[in-house]
Amino acid sequence: MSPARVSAIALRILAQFLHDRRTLALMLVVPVLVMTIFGYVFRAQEDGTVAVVAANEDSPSSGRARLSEVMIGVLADSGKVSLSRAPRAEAEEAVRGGRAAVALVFGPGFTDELWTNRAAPLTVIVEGSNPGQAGPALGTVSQVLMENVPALLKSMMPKALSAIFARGAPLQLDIRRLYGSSGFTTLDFFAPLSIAFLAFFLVFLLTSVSFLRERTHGTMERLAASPVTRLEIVLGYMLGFGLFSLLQAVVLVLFTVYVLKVQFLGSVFAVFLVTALVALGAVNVGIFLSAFARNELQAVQFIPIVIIPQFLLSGLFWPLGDMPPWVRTIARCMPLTWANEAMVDIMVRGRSLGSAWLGLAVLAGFALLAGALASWSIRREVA
Amino acid sequence: MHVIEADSLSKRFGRVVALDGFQLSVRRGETFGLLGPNGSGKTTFIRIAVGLVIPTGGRIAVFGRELPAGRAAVVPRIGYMPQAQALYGDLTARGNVAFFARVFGISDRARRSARIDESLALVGLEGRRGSLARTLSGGMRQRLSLACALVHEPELLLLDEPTVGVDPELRRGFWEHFRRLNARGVTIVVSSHVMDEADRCDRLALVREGRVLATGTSGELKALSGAADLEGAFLAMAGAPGAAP
Repeated sequence: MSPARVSAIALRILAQFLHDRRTLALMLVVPVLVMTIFGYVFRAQEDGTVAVVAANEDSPSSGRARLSEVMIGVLADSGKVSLSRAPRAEAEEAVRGGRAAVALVFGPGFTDELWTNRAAPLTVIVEGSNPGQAGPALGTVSQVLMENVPALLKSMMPKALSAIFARGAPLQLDIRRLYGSSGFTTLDFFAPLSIAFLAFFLVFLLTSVSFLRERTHGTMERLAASPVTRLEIVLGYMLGFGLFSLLQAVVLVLFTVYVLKVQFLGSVFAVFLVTALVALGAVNVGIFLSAFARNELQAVQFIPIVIIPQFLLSGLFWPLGDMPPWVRTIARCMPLTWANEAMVDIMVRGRSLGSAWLGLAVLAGFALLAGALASWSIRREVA
Repeated sequence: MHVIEADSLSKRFGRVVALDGFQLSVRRGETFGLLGPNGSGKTTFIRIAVGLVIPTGGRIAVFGRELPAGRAAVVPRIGYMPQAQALYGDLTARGNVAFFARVFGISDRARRSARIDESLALVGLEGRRGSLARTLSGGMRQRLSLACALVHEPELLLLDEPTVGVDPELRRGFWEHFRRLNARGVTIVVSSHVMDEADRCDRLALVREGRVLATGTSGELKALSGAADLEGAFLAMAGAPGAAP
């Protein structure tokens, strides 16, 4: 082995890096960018408060203080919960609409049951479509209650009762999920999102590389010297890759539903429609960005810029409702965010295509905008 | 009538001057050679003639139509073979030709099929029609590239260094293809930096540094410069730029 030859190769690689500024930037800047998003996502999740909406229907017999209010007060003062109040129906609506993570409904006999040494009825409502989201929220709420309530009640109630509390609050918990069942797993939540993500990722990758080849292998030049128009090229790519990704979606959905046995409520057609729209957007982004790459290596470099932010911010890890407004605005600009929402609406919540219309419209609009950019990027005058 | 007429054509790419007062006319039915070293402007001229590059100055008309305005009318009548082989490696030989047949609007299935077979036969690839383009040898790919340029029966063929990297025997084969096409009335413009190919052209333009030094038959050019062969003629004229007739 010759150290001189090893160092010749090493030096050549370093010199090539220096001549490829883009790769250099990718190696140094993108990791920082990605870690920034990562840090933001996870830190904000830990520091964030849980949105809880309380519906208090507790009406104790005369003279008794409402013990439910004690519990609500504890939650409100904990600093870990942002508490609001609403009647039961509105509270449920707040959870359904994603404005609150948990709704607590204190039943009419809450105080009386506790006074008479029986389990008090407390209904906990969570959205349920994302098990990874409901679990931590419930954990925070019960932790706050368990840490503070027994001591507080002790000072208000006869000794005999406070002894019961010392063994834990005798609450009759009724946990209700608006969507999904108790058997609903993280996989059931992730599967719909994965369909959209995989469609976007793979179609983007395929298009950008195959379009780049079209440019570098000279076939683009040949097409440009033919009667084909730019629009025809873009539409042809959309149709070709659109059909291809539909085939992919068919395989993916069948596998997810019949082999992985993931919950599937809505229509298969709706899922294919969302997938197709996602793929059409991805085709056009691929064509557009391939214009800014000189070789396959540079095309692949768009992955961390195009894919990773969407992966982190499209609702997979971090519910949109918990994001700071400016991050949410960024997330709202990403097609995968809308695709994920539509997918969860259809597959988990069993909603119809009509109720997911906004997401579909945004995806279609994105595909059109990207199509215009793609078409623009195919310049007649190659030089 | 002239198929191509270029009048003081110029093209700059940033600070690089690719064409500078390029003057040329190609007659219908002739085989016209663009002869000059690499970087002399041959490729730029061909790409302007097929509407891929917009000239910075001067005029060019193809089939009597000014470019780039008349591009849409002109392009279907041109067959262009770029310097890169420009093939789809994952398609068969027939698949490549068929794709360009569709792109050029041969919609009738029977006619398209006939045209594809004829183009493949003309370049002697009928036996390899089912082979993937990437499995073909370099020379075969070059011939396939020519077949793709021929399939829509163009009246004008623009061939950018079609015989580059082709061995002498194959090169002779290529020129036989060209002669056969020429006999059918196809006008051919072919660029080359190989001087011995030039003798096969009806007329020639000697190109250097974005200008046409001289045009004429190979005999005329030799006589003009007093040189014994074209290489000598080229060197003689290149030494005295502006001496073009």
